[in-house]
Amino acid sequence: MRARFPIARLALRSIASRRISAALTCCAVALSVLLVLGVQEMRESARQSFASTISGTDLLVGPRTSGVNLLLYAVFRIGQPTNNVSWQSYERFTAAPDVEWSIPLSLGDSYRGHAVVGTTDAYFRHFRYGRDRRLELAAGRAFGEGPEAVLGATAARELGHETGDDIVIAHGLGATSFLKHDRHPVTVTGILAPTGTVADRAVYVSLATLDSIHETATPSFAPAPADDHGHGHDGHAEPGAPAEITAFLLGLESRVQVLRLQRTINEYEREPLTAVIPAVALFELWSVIGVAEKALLAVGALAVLTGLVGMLVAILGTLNERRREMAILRSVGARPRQIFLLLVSEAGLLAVAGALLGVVLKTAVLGALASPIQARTGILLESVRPAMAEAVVVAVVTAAGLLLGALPAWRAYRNSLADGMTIRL
Amino acid sequence: MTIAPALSLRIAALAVLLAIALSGARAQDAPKLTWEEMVPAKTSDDPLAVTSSAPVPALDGRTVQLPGFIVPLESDEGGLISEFLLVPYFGACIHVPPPPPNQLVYVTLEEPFNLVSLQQPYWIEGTLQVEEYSSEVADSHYTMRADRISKYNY
Repeated sequence: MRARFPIARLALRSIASRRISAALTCCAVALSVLLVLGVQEMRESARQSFASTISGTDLLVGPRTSGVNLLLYAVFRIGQPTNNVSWQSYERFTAAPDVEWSIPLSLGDSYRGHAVVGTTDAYFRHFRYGRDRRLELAAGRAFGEGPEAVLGATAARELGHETGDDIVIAHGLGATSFLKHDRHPVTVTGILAPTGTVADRAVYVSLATLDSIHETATPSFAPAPADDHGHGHDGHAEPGAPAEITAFLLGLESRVQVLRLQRTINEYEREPLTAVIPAVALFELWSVIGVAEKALLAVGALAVLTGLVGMLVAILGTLNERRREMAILRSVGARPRQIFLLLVSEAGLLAVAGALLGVVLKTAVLGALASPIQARTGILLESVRPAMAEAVVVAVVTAAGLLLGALPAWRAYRNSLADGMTIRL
Repeated sequence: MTIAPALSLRIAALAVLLAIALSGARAQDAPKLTWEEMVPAKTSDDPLAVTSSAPVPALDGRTVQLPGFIVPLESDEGGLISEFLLVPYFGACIHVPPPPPNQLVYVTLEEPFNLVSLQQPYWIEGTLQVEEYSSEVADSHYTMRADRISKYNY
């Protein structure tokens, strides 16, 4: 067993003597590992973040559009709503049999780049995320009747607001708007506990508050609701109900009724509406994204292969200049088998070092990108099983390195046999 | 408390064999149910008699295998499906009126599973239950706690 140890040491020394080319080879492998692990982790995080954003909602209802589109803009706040839903339709389906709760959503405004969501206190009572988790207030209370707002955790942190602060909401999306209405400040009454979803980035106000902002902002040309007699299922009258909302969420008493109600809403003759089961729309979204994900992973795998082939080329290239080294090793008693082992272990060491460096790089790069990515997209870079994926990639790269190393090793083995017999050198 | 390695190996082998035997037996035991059997038999011979949308009470508590398409209702953080509706035909939510209450099963899963495609039918094995539920538009319906899910091969 004493004979094996010198080989590993020799391999290390041998790499050290060619440290520049070894370092470059290592870097090539590391970068490819960074690519494959980075793609994998972003994909997992994005999936997790999207899948966690909404839970326990049976139907998402909006104007006539595609289900995926509705889900994207109403729940993930990606893209723009194309049309609105009339308040009458909202009241009509909130009062439908089997409907347990409903949450109206009115989007389209912003406060310093954070989406403003007009809703009711039902949002805080019924909205679920993750695995059936409720929204919780980290500080203060939900907004009441007056001009009050609740901030998501990220929004509060980034804007540096606390309960009791006054904010001025601007009309339109985007970081800045030149239609601001200083006359109507809104008081922050509560801050939500972090959820790791897009809910953290929003500013929540009551529908009445949002409407009053709009009315003072630009004269409303929307006609007043034709029949304003119907009221919410809960029996509480909405003072100053808006004419339109962007979308609404419905929770049913029995989930078995979901297909029937979906059909009823989709066939509603008074207004073209779309009702989707969020889980179905999410699944359809995965089917679309899945193709791109697989392509990215394939690119990552090819990059790893390229890195390893680069390593192979580097080792093969040195074989000729190392003939003398091999001959000397043979002359001091190394067996051809040991020459083979030396080269395989060199390849293995380079691969493992490259893979580990790749893991370190990935952690560093994603660590640095985590907060800008979360700020821009609301996606929390926090993978489900990072250690597992990393261990698998390191193991696969090392195994592939050892396997590829066998090729130059075999040539060196042949050479060392032949070189021992000839007097060419 | 040390068991000789050979003995523990034998115990493990036995356990595995037992598990295989049991799972095999269960696969054979659960009878296959058709969607037609889930509709109560007509009480009269009148062809115009409306077929009932109520479940068959006799099916309550029966462990069965039922083939169908999946309409996901709830997924976990990793995107795995944990609750769904099992329906007898694909597209049950778009082109045609939804199936009557006795032609869909509300299924909950102990362990969320990875749904490949909405177009892929599955065999669902579990214990059917007739759940009492009354509202203006519907009454009782089937629920199932699924034990096993496998792809349906045409």
